[in-house]
Amino acid sequence: MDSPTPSASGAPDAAAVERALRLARLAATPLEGQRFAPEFERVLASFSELARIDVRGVEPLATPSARGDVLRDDLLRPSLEREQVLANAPQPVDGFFGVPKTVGGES
Amino acid sequence: MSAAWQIVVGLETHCQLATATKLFCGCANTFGAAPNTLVCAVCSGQPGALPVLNREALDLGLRAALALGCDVAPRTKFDRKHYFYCDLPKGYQISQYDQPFCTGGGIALASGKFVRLARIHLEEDAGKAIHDRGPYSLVDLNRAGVPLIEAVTEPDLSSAAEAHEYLTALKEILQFAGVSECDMEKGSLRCDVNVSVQRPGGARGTKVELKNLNSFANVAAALEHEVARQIQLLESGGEVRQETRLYDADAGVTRTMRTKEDAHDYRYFPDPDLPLVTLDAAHVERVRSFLPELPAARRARYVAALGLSAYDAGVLTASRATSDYFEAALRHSDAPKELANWLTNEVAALFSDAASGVRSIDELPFKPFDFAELVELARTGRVTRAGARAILRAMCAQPRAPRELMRELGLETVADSGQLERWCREALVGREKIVADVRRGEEKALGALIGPVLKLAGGKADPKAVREKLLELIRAS
Amino acid sequence: MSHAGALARVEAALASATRVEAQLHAFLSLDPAGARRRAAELDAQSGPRGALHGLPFAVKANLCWSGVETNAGSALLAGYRAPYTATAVQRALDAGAVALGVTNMDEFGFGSSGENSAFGPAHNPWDLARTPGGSSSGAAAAVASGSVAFALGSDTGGSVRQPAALCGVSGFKPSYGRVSRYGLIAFASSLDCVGVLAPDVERVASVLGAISGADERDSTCLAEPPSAAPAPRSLQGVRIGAPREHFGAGVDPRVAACVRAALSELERLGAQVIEIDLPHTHAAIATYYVVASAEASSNLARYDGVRYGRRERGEGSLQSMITATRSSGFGAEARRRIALGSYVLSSGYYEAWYVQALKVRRLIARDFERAFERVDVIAGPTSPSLAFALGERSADPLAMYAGDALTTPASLAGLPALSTPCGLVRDGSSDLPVGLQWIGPHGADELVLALGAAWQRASAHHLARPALAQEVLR
Repeated sequence: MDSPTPSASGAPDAAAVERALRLARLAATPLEGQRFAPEFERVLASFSELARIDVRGVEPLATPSARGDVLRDDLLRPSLEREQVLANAPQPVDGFFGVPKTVGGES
Repeated sequence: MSAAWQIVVGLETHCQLATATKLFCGCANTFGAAPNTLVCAVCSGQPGALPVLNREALDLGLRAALALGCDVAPRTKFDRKHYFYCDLPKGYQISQYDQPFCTGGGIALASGKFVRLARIHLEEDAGKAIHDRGPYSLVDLNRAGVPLIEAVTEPDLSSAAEAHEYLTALKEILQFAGVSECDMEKGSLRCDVNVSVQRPGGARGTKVELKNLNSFANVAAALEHEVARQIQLLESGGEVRQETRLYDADAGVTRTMRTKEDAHDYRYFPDPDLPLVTLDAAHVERVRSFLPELPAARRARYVAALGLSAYDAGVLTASRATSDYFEAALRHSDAPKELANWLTNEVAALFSDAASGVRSIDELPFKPFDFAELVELARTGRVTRAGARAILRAMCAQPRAPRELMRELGLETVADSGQLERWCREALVGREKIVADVRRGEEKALGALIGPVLKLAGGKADPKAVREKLLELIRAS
Repeated sequence: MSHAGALARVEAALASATRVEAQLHAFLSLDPAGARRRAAELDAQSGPRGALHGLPFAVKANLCWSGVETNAGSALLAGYRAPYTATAVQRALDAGAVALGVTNMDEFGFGSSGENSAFGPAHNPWDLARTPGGSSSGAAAAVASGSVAFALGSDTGGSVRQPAALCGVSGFKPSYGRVSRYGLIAFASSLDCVGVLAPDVERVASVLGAISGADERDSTCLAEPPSAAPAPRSLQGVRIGAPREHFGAGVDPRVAACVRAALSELERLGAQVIEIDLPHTHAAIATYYVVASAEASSNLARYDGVRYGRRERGEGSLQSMITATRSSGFGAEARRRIALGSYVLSSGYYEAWYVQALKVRRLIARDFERAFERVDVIAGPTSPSLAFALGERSADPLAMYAGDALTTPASLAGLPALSTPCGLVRDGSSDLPVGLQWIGPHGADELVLALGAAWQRASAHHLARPALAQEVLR
């Protein structure tokens, strides 16, 4: 959560837009190719008015929910049957979710 | 290791909490079940499912915080940490970013060095992906959603040995507190290491992260190899790259896993599905009341108040089960040293003998009360040590009162003074030389007489009582 | 209320739905056999009847319904059948309502016209060349055509109210947290509300009573008992605030005039209309789209082709599979919003965009709080425009977003908001409905519904039906 950069009130950074797409695992389809990024940047630019609003002393409102301290007891509840868990799986394999082979990985 | 280099190490340890259910749903928190059988809509990230926080997980986290001397925050919240991987069902992990539930605290090492904790936070575990079975990678979500605490130290450690000691102490404390099993083999404890080297007084070196360490020994070994690698690199004019490396235990080397360029932007933001949690002082104190006396404090008490040796205190506190058993037995006994002695020797011997049928304290079928009684019988000479050992084995087979077994097995030493005297007189016959030696002051010579008396007694005499009787007779005559 | 048995009602509903379905495309799937079976069961039942006994209803495609395909209007979830049922749907079923089928919608809720559905858009029963609004497009069309007694939808920035207005039916977004979100396929967690569409407010209130209330599976759901049917109220003395900004530049003058006429009617019924200011209204769209997209980018991260949904192979690696799956499975608007959300949450932009938007959100909420010190309820147009032609705005995202100017403020503040029909405006060869939006303070759901119901008792706008609807389903 870094300090603000000039981009917020200026034109969006093309590299940042590309990074945002990559972070979200999205590629514009071949059909859209040229159109997607400029359209996206246009939308962003129209929202840049937000940066000009005076919010000094204002706390962010992340949610209108009035609740706090919602906790549940450590009690067992029925899990799904494995068939249900895998029912929508694109590639069930021996009771597992099958995915393209990976070496090592994130975790 | 070259003396010209300083080693700077920080550890991030993930411990699975000993709750019955997962962090945000009611699926069982159990190891070893068949794949994808402990899974529900929530922990498999089905569209529309929502998390609800497990209060026991929070309380165990608080217990850990108290056991490690941390400062508990007045309020805490959950944040989403985003990345894509096959074992992360929601495409984000619910974790804690800038408001962990506690900060500070730490562990004192034997050398007196204090290893500070930066923070401990709660988060959910990911599922498990298997990459070495067939043409696909296979994902099991049983582990997804299991509650974890992540304890992050400051970079206060300076050697593999210290890292090993820290982890051992952490495990001991968390086990004693009932927070986590901390079993690396079952994955309930995982450790990542951050290590850099620098010249004394020089600038902090580039830090490398080590992952995939599945035993304390591997942590130490990986550290040693990585430090050697970094030093070698720097001494030959190279640069250490900031990256994540995996430890290959078979080859004994660390390998690049990913470099900083691939580093993720996790796009943390507060999870809107989970309200803020207040940690008020009254509740924290209530949790503190559930905290048992921790190992270091117990050891100190055993030595100071009970007169045990530091070694025995250490053995007794190696596990909470042993320590608790000892203290339970102590409630029925005035002889802590004897109890300790029996536990650390005779009972421990049972565990390594397959014939005994018990492999650990948890498997002892007899109660501490009975154990205390057995030790008392041995201490007072009602049975010989050998006899007591025999009774102990019998108790393993069936948990009956030691007194009963003693009678049944005919192990009671003869208390009848008259009978004892008769045996002693008999043994003295023809042994005038030994008698003369003893009269002259060589009490050690008595030793040669005890055996024959015991033989006459068929083993049912207490050697101490025999010795006294012999002395008495020799002096009187 | 009709005394027809459940089966008779369901048959009538099915007949209507199937008759107009080819023209409206309101439904993604209909289950006549299941509906008939359930209706027969209900008729055979003795003992107390549920509050919604025998009422045929429709379920928006983003509400999970065990065993039924609920694809949220997205190609990515084509074929997906949830292993559980959304709380709101289950409660409606438990109250005796009979589900007919799943309604069409903009993919994942992203849209205000229904044109972002991967399965073709729904059409407006008042003019088939026009959109019914969105994202609860099919739900509004089904209710307006007289095919169902009510529909369950979702409203994140106006997705129940706006289609209700454009289709001439009543549509309600409860206070945030009133109805459990468990089982609602998430778009924006701090904005999503399960909503109700129905021919009149009285019906809306009955349904809300059945589906609202505490749910231990949703940590944001208020721990309150379900709202009772609102006691009948008079409009006498009610202070109605008309926000200057809701009648301003971006609003079609005919819509503004129609709503002003409705406010005059309310005055004649004894209410007091007071002009108020909601000064940050102009920032609502930007605030909404930044916040909602951020949350959407997060909520949609789970669509990676691993556990459910349609999978594309990509180039053989896991990450390329994920990229290919998401890029081809999500439509353009979905990709745009996810990218936007990813951008505003990314390192270096988080404070300037996301946190900034949350602060403006608080200013918008404060505007309402201040207003409610002077008035009991706020009223104005639901939509700045009449129903627009299919294709008219689909090429320009900003033009589409502009339609949410008047509904997003109440969403951001979590307030209860109701759209009721308030008249017809002629445009070209069609008479098109206009919606009057009522906004209440947080938690004042019963008040808003009571006022809407009071007005409908004293007026007849809500009785207007498109020619397509041959009979009113009661």
